Amino acid sequence: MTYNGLIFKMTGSKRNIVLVLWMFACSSVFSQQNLMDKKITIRFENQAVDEALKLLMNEADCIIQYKSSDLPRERRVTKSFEQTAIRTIIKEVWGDNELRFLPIGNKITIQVSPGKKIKRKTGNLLGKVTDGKEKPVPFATIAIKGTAKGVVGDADGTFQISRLKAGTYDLIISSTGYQSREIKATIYSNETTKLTPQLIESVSHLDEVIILGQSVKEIKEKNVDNIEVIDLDAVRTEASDVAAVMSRSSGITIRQSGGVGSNATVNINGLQGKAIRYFRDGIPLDYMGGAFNFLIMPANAISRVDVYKGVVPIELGSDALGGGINIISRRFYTNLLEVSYEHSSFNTHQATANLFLKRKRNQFIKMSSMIISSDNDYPVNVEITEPETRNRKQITTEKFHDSFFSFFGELEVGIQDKKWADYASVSLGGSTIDRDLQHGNLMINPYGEAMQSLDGGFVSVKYKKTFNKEKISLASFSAASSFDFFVQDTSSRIYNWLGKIERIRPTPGGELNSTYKSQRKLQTDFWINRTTVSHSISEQLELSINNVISRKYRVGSDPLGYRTLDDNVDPLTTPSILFRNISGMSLKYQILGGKLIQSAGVKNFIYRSSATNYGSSFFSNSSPLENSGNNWGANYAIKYDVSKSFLVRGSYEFSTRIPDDTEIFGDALFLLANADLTPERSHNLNFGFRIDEKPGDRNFTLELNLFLRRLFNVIFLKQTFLTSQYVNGGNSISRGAELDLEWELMKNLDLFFNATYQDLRLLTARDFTETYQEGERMPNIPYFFFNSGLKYKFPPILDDKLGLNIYGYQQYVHRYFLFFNPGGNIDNAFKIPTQNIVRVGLSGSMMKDAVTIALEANNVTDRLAYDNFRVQKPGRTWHIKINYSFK
Amino acid sequence: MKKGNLISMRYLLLLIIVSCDNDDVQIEEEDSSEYPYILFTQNATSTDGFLTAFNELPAGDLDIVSQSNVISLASSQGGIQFKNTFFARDKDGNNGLLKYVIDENGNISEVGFIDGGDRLKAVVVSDTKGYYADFDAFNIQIFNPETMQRTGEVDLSGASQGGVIEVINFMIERDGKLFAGFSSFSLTGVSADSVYLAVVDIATDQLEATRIYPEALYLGGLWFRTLPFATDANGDLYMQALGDLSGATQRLSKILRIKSGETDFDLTYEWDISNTLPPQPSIMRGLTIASNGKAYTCLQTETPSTTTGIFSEPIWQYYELDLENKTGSLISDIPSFIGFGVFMVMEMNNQLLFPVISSSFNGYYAMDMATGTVQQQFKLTSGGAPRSFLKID
Repeated sequence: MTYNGLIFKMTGSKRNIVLVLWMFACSSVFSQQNLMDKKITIRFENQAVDEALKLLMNEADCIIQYKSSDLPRERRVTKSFEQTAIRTIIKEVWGDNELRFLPIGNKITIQVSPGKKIKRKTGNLLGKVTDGKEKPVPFATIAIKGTAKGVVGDADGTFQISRLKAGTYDLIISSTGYQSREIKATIYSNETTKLTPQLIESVSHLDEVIILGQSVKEIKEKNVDNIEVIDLDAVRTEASDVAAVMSRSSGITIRQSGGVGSNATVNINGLQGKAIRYFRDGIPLDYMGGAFNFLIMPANAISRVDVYKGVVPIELGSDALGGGINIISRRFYTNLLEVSYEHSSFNTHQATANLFLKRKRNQFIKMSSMIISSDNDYPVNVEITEPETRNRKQITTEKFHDSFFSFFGELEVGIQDKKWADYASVSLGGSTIDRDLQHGNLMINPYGEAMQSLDGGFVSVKYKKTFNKEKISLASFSAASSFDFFVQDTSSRIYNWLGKIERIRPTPGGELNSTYKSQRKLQTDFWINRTTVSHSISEQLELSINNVISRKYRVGSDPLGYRTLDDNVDPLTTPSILFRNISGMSLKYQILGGKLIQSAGVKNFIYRSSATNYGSSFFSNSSPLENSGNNWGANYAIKYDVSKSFLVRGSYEFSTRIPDDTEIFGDALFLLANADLTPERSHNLNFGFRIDEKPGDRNFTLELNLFLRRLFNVIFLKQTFLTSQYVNGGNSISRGAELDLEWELMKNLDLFFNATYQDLRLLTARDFTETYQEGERMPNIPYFFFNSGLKYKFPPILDDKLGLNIYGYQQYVHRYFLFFNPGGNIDNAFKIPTQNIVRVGLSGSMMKDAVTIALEANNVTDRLAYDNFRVQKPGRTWHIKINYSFK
Repeated sequence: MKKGNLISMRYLLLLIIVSCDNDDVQIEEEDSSEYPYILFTQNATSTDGFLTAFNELPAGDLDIVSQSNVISLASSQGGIQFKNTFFARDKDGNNGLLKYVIDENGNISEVGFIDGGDRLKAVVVSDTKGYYADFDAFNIQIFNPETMQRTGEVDLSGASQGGVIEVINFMIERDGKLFAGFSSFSLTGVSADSVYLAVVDIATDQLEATRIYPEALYLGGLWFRTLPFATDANGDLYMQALGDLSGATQRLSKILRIKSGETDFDLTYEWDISNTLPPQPSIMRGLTIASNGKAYTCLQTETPSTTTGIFSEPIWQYYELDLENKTGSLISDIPSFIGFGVFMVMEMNNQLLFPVISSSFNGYYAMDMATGTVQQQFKLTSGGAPRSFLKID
């Protein structure tokens, strides 16, 4: 062996071998010193590092080795070196003074220090999406293939993705009306990679399904969690409210008790009401006190709605039994003022205004606001009574006391990308809701004067920061709020459906309650903190810990209401308190390059509530009520990408829902307290698959989800005489399937279709006299429904100055029964009739999409529409909506 | 009794005073129904229920929801009978008075509806005349059962006791007079310590007299579907004053009497029944007379373990009463039952039918009036709990 001019003869002895190796090592070091200190003169002109090193190898007559993944690919070098040591040149070229070298012979192996490797992990991506004429493509979706990451671009086409791990990514850029593109982007450590991807307008075909096809949606829906993503950005220009858009999705029904602003109930896979929990950007919505009623909001007020049908992730930190709904606020990246106004039938006005101002040093101000107002004086078929004979006759007349007004505003001030915080902000918000009450649960006798209102405000603080080379992230949210709920029911007048006073009530009560008038005021004070810590243990393993702690305090008064007999106490003046702490831990593990992802989590629910039993007028005894519990839940989810276009997915969750304060304490009137309530539980099982194909180069997505939910210890409202009370009892099961289809039928024409069958049945009766109901379908819940939609985008008009879309949606809900109808035998059973509602619209854009206008007709065939028994919804309504963005 | 229950009684009374009458209607010869037995049921955890008819007195296990002639009721409040028709308060949530007829195949259909107010009660006195009252007004409405139209009203302003709330509790017709027990409350729900009775002359529809009986509470103020007034074969009218165990004025249930041919209370007769008969002071529910002073009622015999147990625990039992001698005995062959629903003991086919709701039995017991033998008559296997059982002509 010849090495550095010295010749060693190998001996057979072990001692000699060790000696030779030692000398080899020493000589290597000596030799290294010599080679590394060799001085040469060289010049680089805007060359990438690997090119510069090649030149250096030629000049220095040596071989330089390195791991390609360590190479700072983003770096380009322009520099002259005069008689400089190779060691120094390499460090300068590489841009790292802490490089280490292992020279062997004429080979130099570069070793990047571990610390440097970690520092090199992340960079930013900044870009602007334009079309072929360099016109910005607004609201394009930039998704990172194979991950759940992605953003929606701004109105001027700009987008930003922060803190991406260094490396090369495949980006999917898409936007309505353009061909989707897949491009590569390399992210370098501590640097911002700039891209200006161009999209080509769809001429020959569309690469995405316009109606629902958005890549963020696609990516989230391909994740391990079973999420239905309702992309409101995709329908931002349309004149639909959130409830209308959501109800077009599979597995979801939304039932409204009337017109604009009426109470709405969400049903997911057969479960509804309190079994569903709501979140805003991941925070339980409780702190908004009912003021943030997202269902009535215009579609452009929020970005999207994520509906969790399987496992509700521990990050959401709540006790959802039947699923979770996470409302994602709109995000902005550049200065923007966006206003919209919609006018529709029955004197309905809806307006939104969003302002985003970004200042130096990453300061920002964000303002969101919304106003909704409606007379809701739509025609209804009702009965009036002949004064003399007291016989009823049916008439068609307009509702006369159903107006609604709502305002919501929020101002957020914060900073981004500072040393001490990646994101920190303070928000102030307020809202008011005024609602006339036209009728009770059944639309039988009208009210003419009763009303209710909800007013209040909140303050919240957000903080996010990553630590330890971004392996650990911390996010904390705190909020405090106070809301006043007011009911006024002071009229003794009895109205008929013509809005005329028929007579004066002989009893001292009002319209809602024949015994007592009411000026009831309930004040609810609430605070909440959610803290989430995530730790990326490795590339494959991530640990998350979440804790949500909250306290709700409710107190009220009613100067006209009930008083306890013995001590003349207004029961509402006794406060009720509900304390909850929900913590969870989850592990997410992915292997096979992300093809197989599993997640598992545990949740703990601790709650304590207290009040005085004044809350039940019939049975009040001033005794203290206490209720507390400590319960556990667990979940597991798995997803496997069988191929690029086919994935399978399954999940299981053992979930718990804690009884809330109303269920425990009642309403101090007819809803009795029940201090013995215990949480309701369910086993949730989901399984499904998804196919993403491109037959004929047109997008085709098919998804099937099967679900099984076994509920036990169910909390339900038991009606006893004139009172009611929440009690535990009865087990039930919900089984079903959802089918989702999205298909690009032809050029510029897209179709969606989804269908849901959910078989919710009672397993164990809630009372021994009701055992005959066992095995029967649960009443008053839709069990079969389907939706479809078509959207056509016209080719560009006037040299691309105008855009035009035409669309139509259809919604079918099969009739269902108000009460148990064993075997479907009963001919006259009360039913909510089959609904088949069609909505059509036309939207156009101009001035580089700064202005959009939509014209729509809902219930275009003017059918009688019901979501609840005998509670008629509006017939055909006309809508016009204008959206204007100032940049 | 727990304090909570004591207080509760007053407000339950205030809010649910209601009843219906089926006694002493004028029977005329008319076609008799082939399906004369009418059964109302109600689910225990909701307001809905079922209505069906039978061609013979049902026996054994009854799966009523499988019957072809069963109909669904959004609100099952029971009914009253007149000849071969019957009347109920509502079907689909409308307050009012609904008339039903049954065809030869047992199919039940509605033939008229009069809009009414909350907690309506009614009595039919002839083919063309009936009365109803509700919480919408302190007066008595007159209607024609044939056309099912309101035809007038009886002015009760002369009977007013000056209360803030004055409501009719129950009405019964006897010898051309309509007796209407009513309550008069202050705003806080406190009743004066007396019971009131408006006597209306049916021929003129005029208020004839207002009777007051002191130291008793709530004449006819009873639970849904109970019969608090009953006429003996000799014409004596017995009336139940429900009483009130809460508040400053505590009164137990009493039975009062108006003798045959009279329109005022028999001041020589008062039976403080619930203080003497059951193991502890309680409230009686219902009063059904078989004949010759023999009557039936039910009494609460145990204290419920929870505040709402008065509705959900089997703490009630039936008693046979000797009204003349003011004695009674427990009908031990009928098990104790839950206070949900109905306590209307009905007489038909020389039997007395007792509704019973308990975990071991949900249906009707029958007592042979000749022998006093008690046995299970029919048991509901579907449809909820019994609400009302009638026999039409």
